[in-house]
Amino acid sequence: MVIFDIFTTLLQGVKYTLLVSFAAFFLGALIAVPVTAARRSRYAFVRGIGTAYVELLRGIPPLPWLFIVFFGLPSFGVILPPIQSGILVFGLVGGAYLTEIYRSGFRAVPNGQVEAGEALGVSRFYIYVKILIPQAVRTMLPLAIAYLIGLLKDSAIVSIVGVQDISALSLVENRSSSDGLLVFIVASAMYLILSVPIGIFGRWLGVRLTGRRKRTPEPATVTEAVMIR
Amino acid sequence: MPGTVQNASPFLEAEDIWVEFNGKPAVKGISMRVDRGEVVAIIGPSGSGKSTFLRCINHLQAPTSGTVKIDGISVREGKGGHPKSKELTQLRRRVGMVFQQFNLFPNLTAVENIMLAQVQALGRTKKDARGRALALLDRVGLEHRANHYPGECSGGQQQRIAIARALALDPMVLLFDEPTSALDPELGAEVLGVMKEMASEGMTMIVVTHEMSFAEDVADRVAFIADGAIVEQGNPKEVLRKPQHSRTQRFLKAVLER
Repeated sequence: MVIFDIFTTLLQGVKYTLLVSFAAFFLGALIAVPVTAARRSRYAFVRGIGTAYVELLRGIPPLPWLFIVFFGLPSFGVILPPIQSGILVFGLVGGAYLTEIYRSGFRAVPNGQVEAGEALGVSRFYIYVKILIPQAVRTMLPLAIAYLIGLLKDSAIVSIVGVQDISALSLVENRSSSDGLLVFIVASAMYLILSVPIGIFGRWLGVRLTGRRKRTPEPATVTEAVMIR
Repeated sequence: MPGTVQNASPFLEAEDIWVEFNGKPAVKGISMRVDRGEVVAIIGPSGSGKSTFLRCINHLQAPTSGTVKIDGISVREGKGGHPKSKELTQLRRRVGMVFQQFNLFPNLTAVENIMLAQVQALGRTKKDARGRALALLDRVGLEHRANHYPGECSGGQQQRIAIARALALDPMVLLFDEPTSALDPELGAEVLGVMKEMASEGMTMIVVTHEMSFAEDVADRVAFIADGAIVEQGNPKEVLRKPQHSRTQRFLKAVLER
């Protein structure tokens, strides 16, 4: 059957779509840690560096960034293969978005929590580890998951530099197929099949985290997360 | 100026504390000396700077100028510089604080709330800290709530857990910032009962409060603060029954007529 053939062909691309989006997500989650620390610094200069990073990476679309990395860096002798370029670009951009998500998580924790920790002589490090982060995560996780879904879809851009992901394979398949519409419908459905479970997982996580601990602000919902983007 | 005669070297001494917010003074040169075992109630209208002054004592609020000395420890301030963290930690270990909004950690159970600083700040073992926490919960009548989260407890219970948490570091003085203002009278009474008990056991306490009966019955001294300064202070009966200043009279009249 035609649709089955199309499906098995495009299935080859799923691993690259997943690889680029998940690797970029984890890279971004790591990058966002020092950038968030910079943005929350007591020194205006350090805050400025953090803000500059976020604005620069968010203010330019991923596609030009990808061109700069893939076509531009080789002139400085830095040659990255397509997949690595895609992961790097979406990791750097994701670092900016996830910084804002981390920040909103910390801001959702009432200031009295830090004061109580300080008044008890708890060090800055343990205030973060034992008090702030466990509470901020409740706000951050649903937002981060919503961002991951966005990343999964936006990762289609890496097909332009030659990553054989779902979108790239659908273009190839379109040329050999008599039914172009069907090819792209199958490709679209594959993105949907990948992103819906992540969304369900995110909602489940949100409900679980809201569970029994009351008296702190409710975590933002996935809908609000989409608005942030 | 202190209304009572003090020893040469008081246990707690705040000297000429000034706090400015965006250039506007909120606390205008308050000085206060507190002896060991003394209970001082601070009363006054909202926005008078009484809570801000209280927060200066453990440096949750850095004073714009002035010094706080507790048991010989003081934190040096630079004008724009940050206080020395070693001195700050030493000072805070001697001072416990109870907040209006309790500020319990909602991600930790009652017993974990009381254990946290014992382990992280004092370096006690978890076993010791847990034993201490359970004993303190028993003391405030809440041993049965040990494994409950703050969100599962009533406001009065939460505040009593918060008091137990403050006591866990064996502080030399306890600061209370309107501890019953977020509670209805019945739950407030639970908390005041615990505080009364601590006062009778000789704990040094500074209590910012609107509870006039607590100020009169439990405090050794009442200080009335308005517009960032101490207007008058002294024996509770005298200040509350026969206030000398018109500002104090006006405030107490408003409180009594409510």
